[in-house]
Amino acid sequence: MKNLQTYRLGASLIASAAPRQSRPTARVEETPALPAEAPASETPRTRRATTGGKTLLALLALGVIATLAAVEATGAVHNGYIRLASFGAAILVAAGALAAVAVAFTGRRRPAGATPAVTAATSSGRKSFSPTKAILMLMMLVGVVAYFGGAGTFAGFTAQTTNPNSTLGSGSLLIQNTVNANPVCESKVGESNNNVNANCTALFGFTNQEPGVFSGVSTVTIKNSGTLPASTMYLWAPYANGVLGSTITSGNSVTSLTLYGSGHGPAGLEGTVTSGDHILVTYGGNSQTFVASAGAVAGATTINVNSLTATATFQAGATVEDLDSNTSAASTNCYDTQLVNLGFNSTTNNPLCSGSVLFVQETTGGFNYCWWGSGAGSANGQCDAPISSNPASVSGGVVAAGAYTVSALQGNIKSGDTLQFTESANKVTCPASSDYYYGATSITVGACTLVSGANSGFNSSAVITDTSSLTRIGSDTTHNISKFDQTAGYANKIELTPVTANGTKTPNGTDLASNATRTFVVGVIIAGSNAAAPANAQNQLQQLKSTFGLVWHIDQ
Amino acid sequence: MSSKTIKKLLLSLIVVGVLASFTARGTFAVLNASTDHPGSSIASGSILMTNSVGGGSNCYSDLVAANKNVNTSCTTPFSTGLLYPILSSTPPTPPETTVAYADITITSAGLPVSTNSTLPATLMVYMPNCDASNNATAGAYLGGANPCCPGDAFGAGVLPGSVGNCPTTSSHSLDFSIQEYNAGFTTASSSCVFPPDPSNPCTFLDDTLGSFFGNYHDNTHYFSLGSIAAGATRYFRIGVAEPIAAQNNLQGETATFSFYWHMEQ
Repeated sequence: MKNLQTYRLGASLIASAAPRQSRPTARVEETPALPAEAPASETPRTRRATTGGKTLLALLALGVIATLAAVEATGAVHNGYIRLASFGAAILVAAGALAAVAVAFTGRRRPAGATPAVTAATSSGRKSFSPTKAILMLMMLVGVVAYFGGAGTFAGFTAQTTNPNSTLGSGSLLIQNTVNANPVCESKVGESNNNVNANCTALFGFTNQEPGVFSGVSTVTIKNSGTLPASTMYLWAPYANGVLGSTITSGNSVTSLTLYGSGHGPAGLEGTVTSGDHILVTYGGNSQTFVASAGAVAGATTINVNSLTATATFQAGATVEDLDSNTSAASTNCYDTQLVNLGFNSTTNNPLCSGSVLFVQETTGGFNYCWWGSGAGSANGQCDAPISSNPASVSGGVVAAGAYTVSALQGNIKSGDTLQFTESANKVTCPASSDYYYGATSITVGACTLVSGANSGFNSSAVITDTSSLTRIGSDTTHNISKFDQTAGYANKIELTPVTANGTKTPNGTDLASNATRTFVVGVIIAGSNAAAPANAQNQLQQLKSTFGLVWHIDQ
Repeated sequence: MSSKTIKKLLLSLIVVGVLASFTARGTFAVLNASTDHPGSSIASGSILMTNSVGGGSNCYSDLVAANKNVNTSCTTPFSTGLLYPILSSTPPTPPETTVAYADITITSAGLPVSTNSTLPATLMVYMPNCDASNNATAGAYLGGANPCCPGDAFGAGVLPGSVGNCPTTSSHSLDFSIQEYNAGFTTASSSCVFPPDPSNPCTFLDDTLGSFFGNYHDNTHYFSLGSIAAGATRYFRIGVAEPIAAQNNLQGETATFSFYWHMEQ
């Protein structure tokens, strides 16, 4: 009786998954009638009495397996391995059940000394197929049938509808980056295969510059060529970085990172690496951090790292970043090289990076905002950006108050600034009457003062400079390239929120809508002498070259 | 649920938390795009100077790194023991024993040898000191006049401290001139650098040494020689003479002075 209760539990579980199976007891009742055809010479068996518990457990296990198979057959199990295991179990059970039935119906002789119950069953001298066993076999068979054929026999009446072809398509965030009239640089074709392009056009390559003298600017247009709006847009200074030049294969031991020396972004290592720095390598969706085992100088094409097994394959073109860089003037992405060894122009601590003021001013839609540079965040949206313009003409050769048509400004003029007209040795200064922005072609000045020479002979070759702006730049010690790297790196990136008027940015909103563009003017100038960098100190900046990068980034 | 199971669960949560803290960098947005402008650069130029006296060895501004492009050890232009009053303001042709000449060549270049500057500059010169002293060996007559006087930059009779006050009465100081020449110092330019005369070569004028010293004695009071192109060379002859109207009180006096040649962008 006890056994029967256990078996019924198993049957119930099976039935719950395969309801069409019914009347198992009918099969059980038939079992005793099955002939036992075990050969008379078979060795008497005595294990039944002593191994009943084991049999029960075995049968119970079979029941559980069959139940699992049935449950799996309902589709409730999605794991492929479990489904496969269930399928295998079902096959085994089916085979076992068939074998058991065959054996059972074949019958065996009861051994001498069997229990009375058994004796009764074997009175004919042959083993009778136990009802219990028969029931169990039937249950197993039901489970197997349910697994293979139950799906189509769920109910007599059914109704069903299907919604096919549902789809989910992702959008995109892509950057098109254009410097002046250069070809478009797209984030999607970046060699690192993760929508990062580290090989866009250099902003400028100014040579033979001198302190306090206008260098020039570049315009950068950033377009979201993707289909999604970018809620945030950022500007930041890159880490010391490079582009992996040799593929790292997953599972291989890595002791050095080889960088491209040219043609793929930074020329070798842009910045320096210090022993112990953490070097992040990223390709596609994979990244791994290595630890530099030795320092590497700017421009190096090899970074030695502590031996580590690659966890993924990083193709050539992967980005390589020193996460511990940009922490001091000596470890910035911007680095100085010596063009000519003059003896006194050391590159220690990258002095030209510290002596060159960088500015980034937005000009989108005619609205200006100074994001970085001397004058950052000013109410009129102007960075202190130097000018070097020429008047279309000077009436009578005499500089006087009034309006002048000038070549398009490559910087800004702040109202009240001192504008100096220079023609050979003749210098005349006049105050600016208003704010004038990048691109302006007309300026008005107030009453003028002779500085040197004579106020005569001025013509279209005269040069107009904003000495006030140059003075402010010369006094700025916080917006040089080195400071940009140290204070506007990844951790302190500048969010470029929308600009709605000169000097006004909105705190909220989409920074760059799909297909929208924003335009920026980027310039750099070696600051003139000032209290922080007197003229004699600037001698040390001679014949140096500062090299640096700048990152534009958008997020969903 | 057993306490052991609960512990396992809590430990699992802690592990998840730790992993989250380490991976936060990569999860601030799912979709993003990024572009980088590597290799942007700005390079500075250079201004270097080479000074040569009388065709002698070159003196480079950048000879000693620690001095940061300043060399204070160039050749002394001249050391004339005895000058005599000249009879004419027209400079005599050298060699000349009654006046002192020094031919100075300034080149916008430096070390390594013949490394030209890359930037144009303004060339300037000033006299940081002019020290007067009695020359005990000049003879029995010691006049006591200051050969560096009069200077007029600090008011009558007042010169930089190294000189001391000048006599209130004019004693006529030395004549001084700077004449630009061609290479080889064979042909003078048609103008005089100092005392400035745009139309004529230099002549000797009384008191011009004191005048120069008084007006141009530091880097905020310099005498501009105009521009010098990167790599270019200019040639100057400096002349010193006793004035035509020299008085006896100028006898036995010594003037010691220096020149600073300076280039600035």
